[in-house]
Formats: sequence, structure tokens, C-alpha cells
Amino acid sequence: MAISLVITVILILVASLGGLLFGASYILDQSLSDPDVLVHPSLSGNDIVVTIYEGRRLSELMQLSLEIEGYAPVVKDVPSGAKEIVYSSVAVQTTGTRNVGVRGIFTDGSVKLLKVLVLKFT
Amino acid sequence: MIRYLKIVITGLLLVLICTSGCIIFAENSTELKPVSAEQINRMDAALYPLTYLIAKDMEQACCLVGKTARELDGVPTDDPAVELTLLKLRRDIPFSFEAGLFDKNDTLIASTEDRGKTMEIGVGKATHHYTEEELKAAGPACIVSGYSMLLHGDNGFTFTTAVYDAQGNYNGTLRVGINTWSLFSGINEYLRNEYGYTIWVAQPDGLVIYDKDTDEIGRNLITDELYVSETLKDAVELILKKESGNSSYLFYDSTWVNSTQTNVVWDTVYPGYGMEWRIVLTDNVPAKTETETTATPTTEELKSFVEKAYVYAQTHTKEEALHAFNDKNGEFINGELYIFAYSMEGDVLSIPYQPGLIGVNRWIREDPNGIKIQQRMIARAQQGGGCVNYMTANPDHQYAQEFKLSYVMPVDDTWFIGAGIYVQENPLSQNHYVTWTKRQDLTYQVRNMQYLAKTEGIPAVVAMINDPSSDLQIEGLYPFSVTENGIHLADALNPELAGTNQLGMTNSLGMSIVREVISLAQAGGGWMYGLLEIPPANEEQYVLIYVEPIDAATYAGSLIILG
Repeated sequence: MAISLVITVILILVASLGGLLFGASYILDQSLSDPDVLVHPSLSGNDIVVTIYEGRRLSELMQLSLEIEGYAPVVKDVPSGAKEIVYSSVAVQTTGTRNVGVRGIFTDGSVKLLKVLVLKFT
Repeated sequence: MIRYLKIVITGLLLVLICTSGCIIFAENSTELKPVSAEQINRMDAALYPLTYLIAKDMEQACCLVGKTARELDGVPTDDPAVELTLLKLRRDIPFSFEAGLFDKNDTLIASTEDRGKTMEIGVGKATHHYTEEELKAAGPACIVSGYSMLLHGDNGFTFTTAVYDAQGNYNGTLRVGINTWSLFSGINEYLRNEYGYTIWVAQPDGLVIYDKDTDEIGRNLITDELYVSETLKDAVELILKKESGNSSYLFYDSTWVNSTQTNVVWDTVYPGYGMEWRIVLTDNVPAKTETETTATPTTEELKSFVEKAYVYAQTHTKEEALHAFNDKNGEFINGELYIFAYSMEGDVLSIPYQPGLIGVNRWIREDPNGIKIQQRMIARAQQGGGCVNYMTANPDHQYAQEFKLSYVMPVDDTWFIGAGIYVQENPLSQNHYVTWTKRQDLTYQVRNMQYLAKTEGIPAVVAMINDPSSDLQIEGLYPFSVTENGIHLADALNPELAGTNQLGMTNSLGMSIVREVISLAQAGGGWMYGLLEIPPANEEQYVLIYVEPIDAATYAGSLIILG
């Protein structure tokens, strides 16, 4: 009886652990393989160009908000099928290193941080 | 049945053993072909003028160091004249890194280097320690150190001489860090382009202090596992033992897969007290031939290729992505395009055609004109990505050095990816090269602006840049000055830009030259290529630029138009 109980507990623990690992792996894989929208900002002169790649919510993306540390966010509409959004002159006289974030605003009103990186302006 | 199997297995083993022996024997039995006296004479004729030149350069540099030491004898460290004297010395030795004054305990007490970058005044220690007796034994000559790590992670050697107090007592040392790449690469380019020869340079202990391939610099010919060929070992033994001579050996060609016979002549240079160098001239530069290649991808195709890899890297683990990029038969190989990946510290993560380089740190990798390739790529990646120019070997053209355009993108804050195409229309891909005298002129001009800014003031330097007949000007060079905020103080090539902010000016590759210049100057200065509209036609042409900081907020540079 006791042995049966021990075996049952072990089996439950193993199953839970396996489920936990599988679940964690699933979540990790999903975040890697299925981003909401994959974007990337880069500096070109005084402009920042946000390139839009792919993502499961790409069709729902309405606007992109570009946020440079120390500056007010700049929001631009994302036309359907747009591959890049150019934030002209947004980096005028911006020098040094700053955090830059890109937030997506979707048709359901949700706002999601899509990308954060450190950009060296000079 | 079992007995039959045993016979078969034994037979197979015997075949294997015999075959292995044949393979090993075949590797050792390759004979060196004899070299004609005429060829040896030709190689000697190319080498000897250059060893004389190197010896003269070292003698002149050592004289300058000695003269400067005498100017500093008895001068208190906090005297402003010390900084000016060190700046002048650095200006007058264009292949130097930095100059510094050290006390009797080898502690740094004054330096041309931007304080706080790597060695703190009053804290930093000299790499090599010399006793007062050793310094006296050198007499008027400088002690030349062995090759080692210097400031900024650069590698080179130092000239050292004693400094005395007002009473004539030993009071410390004056040391100048010398960039061996800068010293030898110009000579190598001259030999490569004019004769089809290259040089490598080694200390008598076998340490390689210069090679056209930076990955060989710092290796030891005697102990490094790279140099296992029997013929090479014999040649190295001869080279390190004898001051001059000729020999041949088998070593890897540019593919790093096949080996080929390399014929060498060598001579010895004594750069200063305590050191001698073997200058070894080799004939292993094959003539550039055009092989059939597919059409070069456009810049847009290059960018798309890298972006495809970027998406892959963002949607897979780092390990999965690097595995895919390193797969020579995978989806990230397309003609001449392949994905390379580096850490932000310069470690190779992916390079499918040279897997032996994975894990190697290439931070100090330089092209023949002094462009620090990995550092320029990292700087560009840290701007979010973009184009980088440099020279490197083209496998399609017998590994001739050619101008390359790469596009890089950061995957995250720790690593980046990229790919590149060769730019055949650039003059540097067409056997044009920048002579080492022109590069030294560029360095001297910019460092002179640095010096004059301290002695005459920045406004005076600005006026000299704007005056075509000032003593600052050197024919064929175009000096300029910009502030940390991107304002052009002066520009000899485009005088009308003075007073304007050019941070937003980009070329057809989307590169902001001014941002690149500021970034390079803030990193301590150095070399870069640019693509600029050249007046009066305002057509884009490639230029070679050298920059240095004048102070914390102002930078000086000069450029030469390529071609």
C-alpha cells in the first residue's frame, strides 16, 4: 500500500515537472516564434526608420509610437501593408546613447511594447 | 561464418592501417621546388630598401623620443608644457598610439591619452619594468619592448627612455606606444601592389608582430599549433637563427585549407636597444585573376538578405540561429552572400567558410588602411544597423584585397549579424592603394590640429583650415573640424558647410558621415571610409578619413579622395 502510494506520488511529480517544462518551453517557443509584430528601429541621419517585418497581429497594427529616452513619444499611423515608418528629423541634434522603444497600438485598443533597444546616436 | 567475418574485419583493419600510413607519408613526402637565384635576387632587391627605411624610421623616432625626454628633464608634471610636449611627440611619430610619462615606480603621471579611458593618471602602471641600470645601458638609444597589449586593447611595442629631475637624478621614463600595424601595413601594401610580395615580421623568440592577416599577429612560430609543417619549422629555425638569408616552406594559402610553397628572403632590423626584428618577404601573393562569378547583389538585395536572417534570429533561439548561419548548405548562403555574426566584443559567432575562426576575438582586426573592421561594425550595429565599408580578401579573385560593403544589424545588445558584397568600382579594388606616406601625412595633419588647438586655440585652427595657403595644408588632403553636436566649424572640401549642422546629412547608403566621425572621435579617433559628394560635380566618391578629438566637445579630421 505504502509502496503504491510512493510510486503514485512520484508519477504525479514527474508528470507535473514534465508538464511544467513543456509548458515553459511552449511559452518560450511561442514568444520567439510568434511575436505580436516584429519591428526594428535604426538611425539614418536625423531620421529613425522603424522597419516592420512580420507577426501574428500584423493585420491589427494601427499605429506605432516611437519613444526616445528624454523626448515625448511620436505616434504615426501604420498604413496597411507598410514595410517601414520613417520618423523624419526625430533625432535632430540628438547625440549620445539613449533607450529607444517602439510600441504598437492595435485595432482592439491594446498597446504593446514591441521593441526596446539602446541606440548610439553618436 | 564467424571465422569468415573475422577474416574480413582483420582485412579491413589492415587496409585502414596501410591507407593511413600512405596518407601520412603522402603529406610528408611533398618536396619543395628549387628557387632560382634570379628570383631570390629580385626578392632581395625589393626587401633591402624597405629594411633600410624601417631602420631609418625607428632611428628617427628614437631620436625624437630622446630629444623630448631632454625637454622634459626637470619639468614639474603639472606644468602645461608637459602635455604640449607629449602631444608634439605623438604628432611627429605618426605610427604611434600614445605618449606617456611614468614615475620611478612605473606609475603613469602624464599622458596624451584622454584621461580615464583606460589608464588613470596616478594609478595606471606601465606594462614593462626597466631598472635604472638597464636604461643607462641603453645610452642614447631607446629601449624597445617586446610586442604586447597596450592601451585601448591595441597591441604594439613601446620606445622607452629615462627622464631626469632638475638635479640630474633618474626620475622616471618617457614611453611611446607604437602601432606595429600602422608601421608595417603601408609597406606591405606597397610590396603587394608593386611586386606581388608581402612581409611578416617576427621577434627572435618567434612572436609574430606583423602579418597581413591580423589573426596571425601575436602567435608564436615556435609553439603555436598553427605552424606544424615540417618545412615551416625548418625555415623558422633558420630565420630566427640567422640575420639574413632565403628559404622555402609549405604553408596554408589564403583558403586556409590548401597548402602551397612559400619562398622567403629575410633581413634583420635593430629598432632600438634590446630588440631585433626579422623582416621576412614572401612571394605568396597570387596574381589577381577574374573567375566566373554571378552578378554582384545590389545593396537592396544585401539588406534584404540580412533582414531575413534578422527575422530568423528574432524568432529562434541564439543557438538555433547560429547553427543555421554556420550551415554552408543551409538557407543563409546565396552565392557570395553569407551571414557572419559577432558579439559586441568582437568574438566570432558565425562565419560559415572559416569555421576555425569561431570563438576567435577579432577586436583589433584592421584593414590595410587602418580601419578597425569589427569596431566599425559594432559602432554601426549600435546605431541600429546600416552599412560599413572596409577592405578584405576576395576569394573569387585569388584572395586579393578588395573594397567591401557590408550591412549589419544588431540582434540584441550582445550580438549582431551582417553580410557583405565586394565593390569592384571602388579604386581600392582596382590596384589603387593609399601610400604609407600619404597616410602618415593625414595622421600628422590631424594631430597637428590637435597640437595647434592647444597652443594657438581652436579659432586659430578653424582659420587655418579655411585658409588654403596656411601652414596646416598638405596637398591632396582636406582638413575639417566638427563639434560633438554635429556643427561644422570648418571644412576645406566644402567651405560653405561652416557653421551648419550636418548630423542629418546622409549619403546614398543611408550613412551619416558626421555621426560616424563623431562616434569614431569619441572612441579615441582612428580611420574610416566615407562616401561623399565631391565638389564641383557633387558626384559621390569614396574617401579615407582620419579623425582625432581636439577636446571633449570638438573633433578634427582630414580626408583624402580615393582614386
